[in-house]
Amino acid sequence: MEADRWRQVDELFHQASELAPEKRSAFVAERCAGDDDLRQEVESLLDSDSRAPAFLETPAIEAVADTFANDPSAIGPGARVGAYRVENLIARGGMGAVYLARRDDDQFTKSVALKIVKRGMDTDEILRRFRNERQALADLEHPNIARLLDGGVTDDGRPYLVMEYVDGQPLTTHCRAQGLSLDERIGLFLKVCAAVQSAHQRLIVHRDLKPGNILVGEGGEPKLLDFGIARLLESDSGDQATGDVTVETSRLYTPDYASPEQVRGEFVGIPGDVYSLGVILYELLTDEKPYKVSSTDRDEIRRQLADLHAERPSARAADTRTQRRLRGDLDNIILTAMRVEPERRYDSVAHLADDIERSLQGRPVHARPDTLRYRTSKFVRRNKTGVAAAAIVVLALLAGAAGIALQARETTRQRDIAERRFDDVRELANAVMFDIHDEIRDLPGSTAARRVLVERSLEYLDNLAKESAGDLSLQRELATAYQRVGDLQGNPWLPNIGDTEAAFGSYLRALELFENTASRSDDELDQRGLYIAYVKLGNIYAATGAFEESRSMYDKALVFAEDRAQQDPTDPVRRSDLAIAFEKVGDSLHDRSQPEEALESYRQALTTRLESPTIGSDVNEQYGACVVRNKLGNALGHPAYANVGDVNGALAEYQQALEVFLTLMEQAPTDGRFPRAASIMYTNIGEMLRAKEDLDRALEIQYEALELAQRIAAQDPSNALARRDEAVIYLRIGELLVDLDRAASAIEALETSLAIRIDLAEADPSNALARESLELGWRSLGEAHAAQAEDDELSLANRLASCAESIRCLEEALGILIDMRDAGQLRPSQEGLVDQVTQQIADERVRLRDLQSSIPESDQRASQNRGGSRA
Amino acid sequence: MREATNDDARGEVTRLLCAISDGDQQAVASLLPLVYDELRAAAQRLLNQERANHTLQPTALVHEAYLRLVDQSEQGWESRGHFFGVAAKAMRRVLVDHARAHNALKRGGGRLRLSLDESALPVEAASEYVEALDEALGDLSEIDEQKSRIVELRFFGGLTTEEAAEALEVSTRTVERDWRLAKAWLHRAISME
Repeated sequence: MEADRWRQVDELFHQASELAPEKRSAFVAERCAGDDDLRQEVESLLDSDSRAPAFLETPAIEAVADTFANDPSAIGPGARVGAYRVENLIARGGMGAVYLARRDDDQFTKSVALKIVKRGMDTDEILRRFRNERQALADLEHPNIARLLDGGVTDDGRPYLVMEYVDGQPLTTHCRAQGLSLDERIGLFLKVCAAVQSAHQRLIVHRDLKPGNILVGEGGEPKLLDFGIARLLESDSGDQATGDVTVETSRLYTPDYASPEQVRGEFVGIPGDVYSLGVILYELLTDEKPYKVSSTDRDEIRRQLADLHAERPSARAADTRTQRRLRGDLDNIILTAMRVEPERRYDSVAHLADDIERSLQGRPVHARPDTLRYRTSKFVRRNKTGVAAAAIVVLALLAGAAGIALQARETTRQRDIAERRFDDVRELANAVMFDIHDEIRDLPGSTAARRVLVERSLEYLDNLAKESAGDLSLQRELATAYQRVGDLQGNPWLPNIGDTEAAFGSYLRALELFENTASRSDDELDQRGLYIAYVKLGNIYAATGAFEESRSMYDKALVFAEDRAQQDPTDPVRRSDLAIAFEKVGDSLHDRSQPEEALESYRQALTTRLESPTIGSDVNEQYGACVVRNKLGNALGHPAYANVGDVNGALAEYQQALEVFLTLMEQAPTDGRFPRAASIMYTNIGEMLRAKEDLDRALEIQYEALELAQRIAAQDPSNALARRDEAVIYLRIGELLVDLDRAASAIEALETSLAIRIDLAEADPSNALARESLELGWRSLGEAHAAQAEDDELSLANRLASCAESIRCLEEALGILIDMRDAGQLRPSQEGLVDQVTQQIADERVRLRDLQSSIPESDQRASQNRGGSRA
Repeated sequence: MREATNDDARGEVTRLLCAISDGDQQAVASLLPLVYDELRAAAQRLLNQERANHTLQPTALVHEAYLRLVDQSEQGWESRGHFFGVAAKAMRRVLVDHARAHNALKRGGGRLRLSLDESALPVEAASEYVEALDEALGDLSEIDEQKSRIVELRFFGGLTTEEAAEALEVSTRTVERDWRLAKAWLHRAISME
């Protein structure tokens, strides 16, 4: 029945049933006039309503209570399950219910625990596994392990297991109730370890160790329940063949004691039991759980466990005596057992027990605290995609350490400690800046986190540097740090946050520092550092439109690099530096509209790259060579650059580069450089196809480029470079659509492009590239509107609006061009633009007047107002 | 032993109720078997205690299960409502399973045609119509989910009008109104079979 119809029925039934019975029929007939079906439906329901006033009014349970009580499938006292007679229910848990039972035919009447698996679990699978493992489990004979005695299926088809009955309290409850001392608790725990170890030797893993599964009876002996049961009842093993990870196991362990790999749904072996034992020992000795897992959501639990490093047990101890006992060895032992990475825990329960015994005897233990640097770098590696969180933790560590170091240095008495702390902080700051930063550098989405990491590390180093002005290596570290900060602030060739001015300052500071260190030391780090400082400054000068300064920096870098490469021609780093220097000189020639000269430099760069002995194996060199190919293509035939008009030559270079980038993308899927490079190759190939007037294919290729670029930008919204790429591709798509006479779609694409450009320029007002890019956005949109205004198949009103819009856009573009000219930021190739755009505006004004004059008299006023307000 | 495992079940139920509050439908399915087992056991206990007069207050049954399964300190009204909803589903399963087994014995597996008494149903007939009702209720839920849930809560769950309103977060007026139409619809459906 349709929902509307049912609502009608509902409404009428309700209204009619409120009336006296004798009035209902007339009411319904009146309201359903002409709709007989509706009337019959309502009448029939009213009829039912009147015939059974007591229907359903007595809850079902009452009606069937009697028979329910005698339900053959209900398990109550006296019920028979297999050969066992149920006495009473003793517990109920995730897997099902446990009853106290007795063997029916057993003259010795030994009590057993009868575990009946709850409905909804896969009976056949459980039974199959039970048959497979039954012998192994039955052989598991240990005084501290409750034995599995039997198993089968109940009459109503539920699997059951029969185990030795243990009358006792959970381990932790027992210890608290009996007020056991620390040593007594450890003694109990060692017995548990021995039992677990004995099972492990038979290759039986528990997988659900927790205090509730370790009962202590009156004799004070611990007894482990459910050994091997988790494995029987889990439903994951059936899927191992297909490699599927199922989530069905989630209900069968207790999150508080489960190892991280178990929460992740991975294979749980001996290290999983070691982990759970670590948690149990933690709780035994502190009376607290290491951390409370507060979610049912598997991902959330996983995240919590991965992020958490348990606090040292000693820090949680109730009294100072316990604290002293735990501090050191026992802390380390417990935290070693509980390490997140299975391979870093004790490799067996025997080793865990051995270390505990060593600590009791005062002998040295094997457990070691995690080192600070290990912990931080491991942490970041594990949490690569959540680097923001990582940054915060690392910075908290740094803040603490730096504070201590600086305070300590104030008193000479504590010089030794101070020196050590000082080194710690320095090591850590470097770890953050180098190891960690490099680890995440090419990871999409990491720009903002990297900035925090590097800037804060720099602060600490800066503070330290003040205190040791003469320390050469410290100055070197500082200089490198400044370069990295500069990259993040505004290196136009790397993912950056678009703060060009700040980047300039950082690069300049790095140059000063390296000039100082390089003059005092021949160390490779200082010499190469100086070279890099020249290049980076050259880049930033170019980005701010200071082409002369840029060229002079690049020239210095080239002289330097040639010299260094000559000293050692086989060194791949020096070779690569030389190639970069050639390339940079080429860039500055290209910027100054000298494509032939630029080509010369680029070819030298490419040759230097290709002659490198390691080009076959080094991803970075292959990448570098293709970057040069791209620039060769630009200078050969790309219309956006000064070029020598060799479109086919350009196309060949781009295509060669594209193939390499696509291969690299497959080889290193997490390296953000390769998809971006591939996207740029696509869009450049599209430009070449457009130049060859193969417009449809060009458009297709541009969409390939766009898709890649959008993927990158979506992964990291703070990455200005990725968004700029997106804007460029939208613009090219827009231009193609203009060529294809699809002006309306073109305008849409160009507006998207412009919107991105406006965002970027507003976020970084000092970035000349961003301003330039904004100008292009306005200008191309203005030209697309002009194309539409020219289209005489459109209505007059549309053409007028387009014309006015075109004037507005072109004027925006002109404004930016004039600003750039006044600031000396125009490239030589752009100098004609001011006149060109001025002329375009004039042409559109003429067109606007012509169009207006063809409007019928009555419409003139309105459109003049519209045109006038925009012009 | 009792203490530990009951605590586990209780923590589990509490977590699942939170998940249900957060809209996790999967959690209803996970909670159902736990509540099912507990209700069965509770019914057993109550019936044993009350064998003298053979009556079983369904509300008392659900409340007892609720008290045993849910950590009182952490649960608000909303979770209580969710629990009642799940409990009613579980009761429905208990009763329908029971009725099905009972009927299978009686009729040897054949299909039975039902004719309903005009007034209250005799106790003997209950297990027969419970099975038919279950089916009809399934049909009703496709037309009007809320009305079928109200029947589930009131008839199978044994909740009062007020409790059902609380569980569904609607007014008692709405429950009364929907209940009446649902009854008429179901009565007709079963009689027509």
